[in-house]
Amino acid sequence: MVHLVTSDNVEFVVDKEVVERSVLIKNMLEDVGESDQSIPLANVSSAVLRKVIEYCEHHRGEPLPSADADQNQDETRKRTTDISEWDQKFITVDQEMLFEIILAANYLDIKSLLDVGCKTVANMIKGKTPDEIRRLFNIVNDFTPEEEAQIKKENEWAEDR
Amino acid sequence: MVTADNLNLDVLELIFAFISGNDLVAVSSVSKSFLAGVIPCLYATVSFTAKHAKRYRPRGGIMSPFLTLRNHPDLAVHVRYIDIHCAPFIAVGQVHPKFLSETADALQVCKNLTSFVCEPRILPALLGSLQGKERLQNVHIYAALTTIQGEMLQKITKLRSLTLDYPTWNVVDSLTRWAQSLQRTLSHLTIFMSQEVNGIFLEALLPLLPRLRGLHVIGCSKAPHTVVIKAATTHTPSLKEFSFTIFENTPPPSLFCLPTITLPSLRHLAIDVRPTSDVTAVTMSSLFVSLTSLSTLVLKFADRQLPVWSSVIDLIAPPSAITVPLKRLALIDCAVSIDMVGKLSSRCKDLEMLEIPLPIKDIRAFTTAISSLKELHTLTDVGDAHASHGPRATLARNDVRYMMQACGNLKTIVSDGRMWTGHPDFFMGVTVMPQRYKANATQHWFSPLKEYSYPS
Amino acid sequence: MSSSTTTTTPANVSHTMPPASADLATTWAFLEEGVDHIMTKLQTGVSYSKYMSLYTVAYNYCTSSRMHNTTTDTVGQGSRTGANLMGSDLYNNLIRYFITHLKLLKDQSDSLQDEALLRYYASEWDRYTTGANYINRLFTYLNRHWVKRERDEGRKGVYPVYTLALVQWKSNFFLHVQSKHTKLAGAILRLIERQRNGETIDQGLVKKVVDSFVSLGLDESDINKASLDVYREHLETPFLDATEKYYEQESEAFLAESSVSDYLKKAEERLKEEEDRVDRYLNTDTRKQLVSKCEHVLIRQHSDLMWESFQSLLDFDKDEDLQRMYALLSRIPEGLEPLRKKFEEHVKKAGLAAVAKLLGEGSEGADSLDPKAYVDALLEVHRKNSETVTRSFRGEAGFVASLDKACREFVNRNSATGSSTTKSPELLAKHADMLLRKNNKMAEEEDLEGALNRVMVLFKYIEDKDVFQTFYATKLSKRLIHGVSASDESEASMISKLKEACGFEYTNKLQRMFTDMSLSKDLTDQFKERMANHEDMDINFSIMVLGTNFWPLSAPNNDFIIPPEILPTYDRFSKYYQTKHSGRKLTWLWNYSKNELRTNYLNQKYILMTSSYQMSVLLQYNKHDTLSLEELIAATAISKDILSQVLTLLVKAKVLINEETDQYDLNPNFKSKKIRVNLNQPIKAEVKAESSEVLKTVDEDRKYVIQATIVRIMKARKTMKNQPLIQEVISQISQRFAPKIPDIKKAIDTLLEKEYIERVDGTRDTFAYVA
Repeated sequence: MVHLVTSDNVEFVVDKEVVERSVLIKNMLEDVGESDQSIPLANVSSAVLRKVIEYCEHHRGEPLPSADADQNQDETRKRTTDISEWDQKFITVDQEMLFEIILAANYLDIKSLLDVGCKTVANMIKGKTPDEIRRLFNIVNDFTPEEEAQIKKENEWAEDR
Repeated sequence: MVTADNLNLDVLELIFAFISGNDLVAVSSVSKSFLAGVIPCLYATVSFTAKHAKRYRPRGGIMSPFLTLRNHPDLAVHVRYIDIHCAPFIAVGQVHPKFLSETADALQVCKNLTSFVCEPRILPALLGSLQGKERLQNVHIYAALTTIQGEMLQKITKLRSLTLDYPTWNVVDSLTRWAQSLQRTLSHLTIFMSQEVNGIFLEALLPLLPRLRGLHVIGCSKAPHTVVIKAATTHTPSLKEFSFTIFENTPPPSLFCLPTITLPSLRHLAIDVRPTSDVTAVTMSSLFVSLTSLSTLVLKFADRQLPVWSSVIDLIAPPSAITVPLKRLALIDCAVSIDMVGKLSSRCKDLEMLEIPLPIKDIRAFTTAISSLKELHTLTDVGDAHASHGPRATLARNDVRYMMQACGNLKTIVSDGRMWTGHPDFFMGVTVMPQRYKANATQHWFSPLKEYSYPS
Repeated sequence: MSSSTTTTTPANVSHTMPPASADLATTWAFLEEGVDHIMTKLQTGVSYSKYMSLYTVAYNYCTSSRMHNTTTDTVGQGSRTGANLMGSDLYNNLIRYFITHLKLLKDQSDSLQDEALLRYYASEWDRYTTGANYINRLFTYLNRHWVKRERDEGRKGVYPVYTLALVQWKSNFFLHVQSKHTKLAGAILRLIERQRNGETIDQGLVKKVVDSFVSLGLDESDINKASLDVYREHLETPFLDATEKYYEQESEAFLAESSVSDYLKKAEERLKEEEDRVDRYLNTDTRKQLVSKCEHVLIRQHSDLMWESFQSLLDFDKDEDLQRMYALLSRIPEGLEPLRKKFEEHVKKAGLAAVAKLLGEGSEGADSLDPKAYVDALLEVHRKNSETVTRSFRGEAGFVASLDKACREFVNRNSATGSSTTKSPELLAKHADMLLRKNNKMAEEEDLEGALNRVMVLFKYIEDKDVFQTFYATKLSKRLIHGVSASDESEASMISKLKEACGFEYTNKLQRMFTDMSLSKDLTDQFKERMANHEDMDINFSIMVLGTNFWPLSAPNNDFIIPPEILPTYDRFSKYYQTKHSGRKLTWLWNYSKNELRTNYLNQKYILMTSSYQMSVLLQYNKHDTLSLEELIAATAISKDILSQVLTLLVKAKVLINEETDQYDLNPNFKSKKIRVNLNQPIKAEVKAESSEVLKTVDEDRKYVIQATIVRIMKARKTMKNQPLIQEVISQISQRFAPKIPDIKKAIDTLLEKEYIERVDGTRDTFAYVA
């Protein structure tokens, strides 16, 4: 069992097999060796970690992506945004939690969870105008009107391909 | 609080890697951080098509991506693929000089280019800029060049895939020399419509290319199937992909020395069938012997009205066959009766993708005919709306839903410029969504599909 | 999963971890302390919280770039370099750290030499690479994003952190040590030399340092690929040079005071040793070059000497040394060729000597050479040297060819044959005949089979196979006619061997002879059955009808009066045969037939076994007791010359008495110990005639073979020049015999005369086929 301590000081005790879906923690356990010290996760809150552990529990035992799988995937021009049914249900959370999960997955180096989060955001963006996207994510348009016009013109070629 | 626009750049890039097309453009004008995150994806593939060419003006009009690249050379590091399908003309036979100079300048700074496709006849103006691309692996060009231009082409040495459309004699001639520097990398070679390629040439070229896994010789009148098959089976026995043309006037082979394809690793076979009589079946019957490893078969015929001979169907799927392991079958430019479709379906149980002309008016009978294809997930209509006179019926939403319900695994139907995707639905059984669809224009009909072209 | 609120170690206050928004100076100060701890004091351990805080600080700094903070954007597509600064900050600081760290190692190594230097280098390498692996994982976020992006975008000189550490080691430590007279590689080479001199060295240490050379190689285009460039430049090349020098000196010195035999052993050991060295501590890539270098110095440079001493090893049957020399020289190109030539010469000499010795022993000279002794002498030479080829030269094809070439030479041309090419095939055929005869002492079948196989060994080398064929056919016909063949199985076995060696055509006639024999037996039986009801058949009659074309037999050229006692049988059979095969001509070969006569004029009844001539003479004495030569000639029509020989034999056997000149009386007191008396001895004239007769047939046959071959070639080629035609004829015929060029020219002339071919107009030496 591995002891994890979150930024808000909550301790979680988790199966090694589950927690090792985080490549960060897997590597550290390999490098430093196992002990009963607790592992401080300064960038993850207990609410987020609970979700992350739920995900890892569900996917325990599945093969981890190898280091060069990344490169192969980049070679194909497009990537599928299909999400499995369980993951879909799992990731149906409010926006802030969604982004928190993405950041946590990025920090803990859990590739498959990071992908699920990114795909979900990508699916939210699909088919929307810039304005709709801004409204969806509550983003302030920091372009001047001239800048925006210029960008539209320069990237017009990429429309509808 | 974490919000979308204060996600770090690394994460934004990962998100935008999952979107494409218009969505990329929309994202680019949302905010500065979104723009920064989307640029690598937006500029990975730069293409210029007929649609762009039509709206191109030296002043005003649409801005060419190449002009953008010239104005912002920083963007060029992201460009991996350049696809030029069309060039804007200022007068008949004369390309806009401004376009040529923009494009040449942009090409010059795209140091990380891995793939270059140039279908219009403008290559001479770009050859200089194409030099020194260390990562260039794939080239597909309209290869009408002078001898000196051909020599410049030869300086590109690490190609894995090369496609030459309409190559002139000097390009063909220089290919045996070029092959010597390409032989350590080149795995796919396509020669499309050349009058110069013949048996002697192939016999000289192929031994130089031991790594070749794909060979497509289509529409080369001096290299009919007999010649291409002989050269390929002798010199490049490890081919996985193979295409050739059967010409009308090729002397029918004697019954005693039919050309047989003995390529044990062959997976993809495409044949351009020019003759319009059934004699071809004799020729083809010998080709299909020993092709039990084949997973893709593409047959293109000479006439859309031409009914596919039942002898051809028998060849694709012999009645006695154990199991035909075909996963993808395409019958292009021909007419296939419902009977034939039924025959095919009962014999090619493993088919996952089927490309044939769809009988829109008779969709129920057609659906019954294909309902035994349990693995079928993609159906593509290769009939042409413009070919038949009068208004042609188009596929309706109900037809699509009917087909997807009848064929459990069928998720995608492409017809008439639209791609229908089906999703399981609790109440309706299946809900279907249409999307505009454009076939990948950079690929010839005989090339194998890239995995990402269809959902798997 | 379980969770609980605790008061122990809150995650975000461990140590003095700087906040996420900390500036570079604060961030790096924290990171550097951790990095240094890992690089220098890893053995004291790292806590989870230390590890996590280092990772987190690096992560926070890398992700701290937020685009809305970068306000320096130009209009439109902004430059994105702002984001990249963060990564490069950390990256550059890491470089700075490695340089400082390595400077220390550099200073400490300066005073060290040889083994001490290697020990220092190896232990620091261990510590450094272990630490760098750790750091690489701590900075994994930097690798995954910033480094990857920079490399994707084509920037040179940016590597994942571990690779960066190696690059820095190479340029700031390794190259520095090497720059002082290649101190590092030199130390390794000196250790290897000590090992070659027989000392024990720390191979593990050498291996560790050598492995570091390999690790330092870097393929710029693909960092996941290993590159041997550092190993090659700094170690392999000087190592190969040193190896060459070492063995040049050693082999010179060794040969100066030792024998070639000893050197062969030494070289073999050294080669094995060097191959082992590769396995022990060098990169396997070096094997090929090292081996070829050693082969050059140890074998090629002394190959002349080995070639020279080969003959004496052969002379004294030094098998082991021969094996060793073969194994060594086979490793270098062209190394065996001189041995093969010498071996060929050696075998040839041995063969010639064996024949000369045989001739010296016998007093009779070449003419009456015993075929068995001759064949045995040749076979012995072949056997001995064939064994040498198998044992010492591993049956290598080149040596087999040398053996064959030499055997072919001495089998066909030696002091017994003189200039005759027909002597050897004749003797061999005679030897085969003796083996296959009934009275042969080869008791066991297997012995006979073995002996026949040995005949075939020599047969393979015979050039004039047609001569052998003709002699063999003659001898076979005798064996069959006289029924003295040892066994049908052995005859068949020999014929199938010949067929295997020369093809169907070669044995066609021989096989036909057997067919005729069996047909004749049937014919005799049928005839007897047919004649069973004729009461006068007290004559026991059997017949052989033999095809003229297949049997080397000739009809007698003298007349012969068929004695009335056998005339009815003769007539009856002739008639019977004509009705059975009308149109066939029977020629009676009285000179080959034999008879048995029962005596009535003596107290004891004897059976006299005779030839037909003897029979016809003796039958005259049914009516007379005494006859003159003239009377006998008149009664038998046998020529005087032959008749007198016939009579001489009968007189010698004491059946007749010759007391007055040309007067022959029946001996009434004839006595013999045996009831069956064999009078049928061959007469001298026949024996002598046989050999020359055979050779005449061969010559005649050859003429036709040559002519037929020319016609066949010309029919195919239509026109041909003289020289190529002769070449072609020789190459087509040489399977059967070696045609002489004058014979071919003669055949061409004959064909010109007969107008099978003609000279092409206006040329001197071009012929055309006349259709």
